[in-house]
Amino acid sequence: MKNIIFRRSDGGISITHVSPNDNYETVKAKHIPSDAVILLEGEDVEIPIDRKDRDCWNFDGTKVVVDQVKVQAKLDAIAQKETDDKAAEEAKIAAIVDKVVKK
Amino acid sequence: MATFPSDSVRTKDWGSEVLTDADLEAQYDIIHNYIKAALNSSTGHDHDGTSNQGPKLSPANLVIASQAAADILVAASATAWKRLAKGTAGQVLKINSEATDVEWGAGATAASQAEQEAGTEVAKYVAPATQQFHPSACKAWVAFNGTGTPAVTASYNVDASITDNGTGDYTISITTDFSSANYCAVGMAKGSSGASDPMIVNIETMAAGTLRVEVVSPQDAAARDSSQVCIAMFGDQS
Repeated sequence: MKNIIFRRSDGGISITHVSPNDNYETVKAKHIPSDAVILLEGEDVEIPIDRKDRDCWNFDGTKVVVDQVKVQAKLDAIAQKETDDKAAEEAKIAAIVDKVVKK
Repeated sequence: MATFPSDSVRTKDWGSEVLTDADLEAQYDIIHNYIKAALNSSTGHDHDGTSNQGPKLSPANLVIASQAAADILVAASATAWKRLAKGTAGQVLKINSEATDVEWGAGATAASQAEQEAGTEVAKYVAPATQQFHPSACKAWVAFNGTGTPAVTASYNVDASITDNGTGDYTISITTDFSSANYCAVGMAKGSSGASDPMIVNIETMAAGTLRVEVVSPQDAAARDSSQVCIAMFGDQS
């Protein structure tokens, strides 16, 4: 199966799996947005099997890889959100306690 | 024609002997049987001399003026018949506008794409090649497995190629495009753990020839790969 790997305008990586039953050029024209950048076209292009970090895929110039910098950034963001959520919760509790004490 | 019995069947010399009632009856029977046999031979019926059965019509003996292959015999009135010459290719036998006779006429025709789209034609039939153009008909549908390399499992008017844009994020293409991006798309997707994990199919972008959707879990608003994504599309096709 032929593949077309392209970078979307939002920076994400898309992979078009072109069926041998379809006209390649027609599929290419329909599936690839005009503002996208085609990175690679080929037969059975290598892509990561594990889709756990699909949103962190990137193109290293020869193939699609999991961008560890993006993965770390995602993990940091999750950790930060948990911290923020916890802080917000603690602030709520503190506000309630403060009200009770003042009464 | 039956052969009349010869004189040898006579038992007495009619010129010199006295004929009894029995002799006359025997002669009568000979004449009667002769006539009956002759009648049966010419009409094809078994006339027994007691009822009027009428002549038997034999197709081989029936001749119509100017007849030709595929002509039809039609009753012209309560007592007469006439020949209806064969029609031309594709014509069908119809009752005329006065409902007094039969005639050859054009057969029913299939509704065109425009007539299907208008949805008001009542005299034409819907052909399999154009039935999908009616506004109520589904123009394209697809079922695909969105885990791993997305793969179409069944479809109509949707290409077998799918673009993987991310987790639960897919682009499909329509083989015969819609006339614009103003069409209706409906979708369902299977959750990873049945009823406890239902999925919503969210429309990302719509174009006349493509549709990008995202399978999302309402529990955390996060996209999920789904093993069964089903999408149907309705609208006006170009």
